Amino acid sequence: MPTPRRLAALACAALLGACAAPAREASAPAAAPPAPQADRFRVPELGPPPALRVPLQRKFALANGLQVRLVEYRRLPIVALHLVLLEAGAVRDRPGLEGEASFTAAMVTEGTKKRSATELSDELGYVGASLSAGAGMDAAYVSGHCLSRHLATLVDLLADVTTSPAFPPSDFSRVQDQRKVALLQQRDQPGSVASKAFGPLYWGPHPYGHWIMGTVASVSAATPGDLARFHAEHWRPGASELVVVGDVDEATLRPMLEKAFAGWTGKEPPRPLAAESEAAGPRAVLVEKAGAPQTFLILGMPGMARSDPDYVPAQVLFEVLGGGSASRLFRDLREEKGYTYGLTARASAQKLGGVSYLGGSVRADATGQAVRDLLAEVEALRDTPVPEAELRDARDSIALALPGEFATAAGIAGKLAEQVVYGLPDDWWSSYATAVRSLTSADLQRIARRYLDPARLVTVMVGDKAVVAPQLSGLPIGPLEVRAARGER
Amino acid sequence: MHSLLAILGAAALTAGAAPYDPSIPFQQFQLANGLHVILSEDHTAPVVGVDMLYNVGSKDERPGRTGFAHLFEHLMFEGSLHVPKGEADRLIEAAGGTSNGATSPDRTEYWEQVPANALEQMLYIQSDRMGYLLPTLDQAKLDNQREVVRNERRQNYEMQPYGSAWKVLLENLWPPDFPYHWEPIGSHEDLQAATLEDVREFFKKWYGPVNASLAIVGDIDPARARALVERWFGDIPPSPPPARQAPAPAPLGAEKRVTLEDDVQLPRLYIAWQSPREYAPDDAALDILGDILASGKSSRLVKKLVMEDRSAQSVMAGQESQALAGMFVVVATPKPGVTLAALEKVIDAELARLSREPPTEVEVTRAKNRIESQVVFSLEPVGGFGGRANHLNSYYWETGDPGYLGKDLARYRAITAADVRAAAARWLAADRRVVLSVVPRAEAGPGATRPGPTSPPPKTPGAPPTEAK
Repeated sequence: MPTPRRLAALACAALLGACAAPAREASAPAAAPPAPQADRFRVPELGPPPALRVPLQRKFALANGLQVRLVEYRRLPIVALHLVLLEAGAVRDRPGLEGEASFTAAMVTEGTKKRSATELSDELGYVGASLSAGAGMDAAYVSGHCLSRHLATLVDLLADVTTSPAFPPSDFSRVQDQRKVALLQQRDQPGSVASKAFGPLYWGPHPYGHWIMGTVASVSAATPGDLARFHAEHWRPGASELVVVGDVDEATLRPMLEKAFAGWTGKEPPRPLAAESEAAGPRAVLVEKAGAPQTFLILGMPGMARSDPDYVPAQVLFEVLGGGSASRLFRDLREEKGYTYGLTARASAQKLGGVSYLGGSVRADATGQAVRDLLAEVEALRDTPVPEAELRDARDSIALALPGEFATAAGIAGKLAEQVVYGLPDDWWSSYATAVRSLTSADLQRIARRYLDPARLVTVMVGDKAVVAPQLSGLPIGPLEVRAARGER
Repeated sequence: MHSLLAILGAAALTAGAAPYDPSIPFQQFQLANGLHVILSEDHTAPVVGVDMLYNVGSKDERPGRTGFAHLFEHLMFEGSLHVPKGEADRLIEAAGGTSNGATSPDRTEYWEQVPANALEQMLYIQSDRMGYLLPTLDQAKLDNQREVVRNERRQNYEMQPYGSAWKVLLENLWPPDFPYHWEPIGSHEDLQAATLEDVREFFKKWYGPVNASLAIVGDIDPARARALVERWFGDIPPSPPPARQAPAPAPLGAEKRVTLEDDVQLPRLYIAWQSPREYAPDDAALDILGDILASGKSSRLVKKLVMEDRSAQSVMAGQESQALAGMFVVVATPKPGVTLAALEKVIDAELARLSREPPTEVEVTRAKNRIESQVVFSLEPVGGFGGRANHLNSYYWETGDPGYLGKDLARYRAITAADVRAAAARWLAADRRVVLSVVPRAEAGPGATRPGPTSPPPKTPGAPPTEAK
């Protein structure tokens, strides 16, 4: 999904509301030693960058086998909790019950053996805490945050929803209906329509090919018993890990966790899952959206799994191509040609495989030219080594950003969760920074030739057929299939 | 919109441990040219948030040039006399930083968050924009960013379901000459009409140092930071304070009912009232009322419409407070087969009840606690949208005091259940509001031709030209 920048922040109005212009007296000025006048023709030197200090992770296991990793971070009186359920992701969905991992996760906060859905919501609200659960392809999670003085409450609630969800029939049917309606509403979202078309086209029968929420049919087919069984089989302490970051120490935390998770048992379930799927490409699908002023584009080519050593050079390559506002796609297709508000590229790498993505929204009448330009950018990276200065900037933009990514409790929890999901060693982030900074142009070109392969391109477009289809003739995107707006799903 | 409201203000009424009073320590000073500067040290992580707030937004535009403040914001990223186009982005990212900008009805923000060693480069970039934007600003840059902004409009409004609803709501809630009548994104026609001369005039009027404030938060030495600010901003000439309009809106005299067709699967109901501006009496009470109506499963409207009747897919409610006036909005999406009229009836009944009977103490306390903890969480990042630097800067323009957080919390702590009831009775009258129904575009039956675009909602004469979706 592209990340737009420079939004017209109409909704942010509440943050910026105001009354009359303030008085302009200053108070408590800082001392100001004399400074040399600015020389605007010389960019100020940066000086040495701050070192990356990855915070110490304290690890321990509870009596039931649940692994815990704690980072004490005491800047504000808050705590972030993030429980990763390693074997409860959507790759475990059974055929015909697609969406059950995500449905199961959604139901754990809808009533437990001790508390109704409303009681859970009220207890959380009363202490100003948040708690949510969901599933991705590779894992499910339950996460929440709170002021540290309410940690015992949040731990108790998090453990309750994790270990004893009740799947009450009435709440089940309410949530089932809401999920079916949400699937219906996704027809209105060009990004969702494109992703739903892309998954099966690219992945085929691989478990990554299905939509995480499933389909109207598969959601309708699920029963409370199905979800209870999924939970019993896949939500187990032996296949889970809890990340805790914030204003708490082990001596306080550990007894809270032991008490709250005491009744939860189970070892790691059997986990054979290795599916190979190769996009046959090139081929293209245009999903019709009549009258659309833009076309939503996804171009995908075979990528790599998160554990692949090529992951690191690929991050730098995709930074050059379409990472931020200094990237080639931003500079060329937005800042020179004006085709788009934002196009991005990234190497999406998950447990069982990945995709090399380019995508975003482009003006409808520029769709053909934008695809041609995207493919030209791909060819350029395959044919020509990235110049040294551009390579250095891209390496630095990744390596030097890391200290900022470890600057908040939520940021640290996210980094640790990534380690847990993909089984990365504790020194991963510091090794990553070192590895990024040692890459050469030759490394990037090797990656480009392997992971930017237009011969295996899968293209999905959501746009106005009458405007877009004529622009596509002669493009090397393979046979074009046009689909009506209202397919099933 | 609700989640955005909650960031302001707090209270701590839970039993047990002593409440935490969030605050951000800071110093402030002013340069001779009028630039206000706010510094706040925090050495937890080696990063710095830099936030420049110009006291100008879409409310300072004129009909016929809507969208201009935001288009101008884009041009501030297109290079200046000493920083060629693209160079600022390159420097910021190569330093390991991120940046962005945003235009709201009231103000325009430009921020960077960078490793601490890159502070001076950020001041170099921001000061060159403030002091030396115009010499290299040409037609090509204007034309390019006009296209980019029109693409932004297409992507974030026209391609989105219900993407024109807010525009129609504003056009009906506020009179044509009141500057909240239009959205910051503006219309295609007005964006097309903008000229280089408009750009120059806008810059000269609004972008002088006297109309800006700079907040620097994070791993800094305040004395050195001050010296660097003096070095890079000191040579920018002073500017006269811009003359600004601060009109009061004409109140709605009756209920207005409007229908808009859109490419959506489900209809959606929007009900909006004019409400007090930020920090005015009843502003905080209405924030709490929004929470009581639609935050959490036992909030009034969620409980009735989503949990019990199951007639709605979702419901939101909240006070949107701004400089010149506020608006209170309730938004509800029905389940397939349920009419908007059915939802409206339930909403009206609940609002009528809250105008008669105060909410319970538990409801008020829960709302206050939820608001309080959201404020504390929002203080985590030093920079970026809604980070510490932006907090200090926003409070400065809103109240004159960057350290207003404590007083803001006190506003919320003082609210009683009786205040909430009185605010509901005072502001949420059924005969002074806009009721907007967004309905799915009529389906073409077999053999029928697809209907053309529906006509835009009724417009008052004199309204700025607007784009029908």
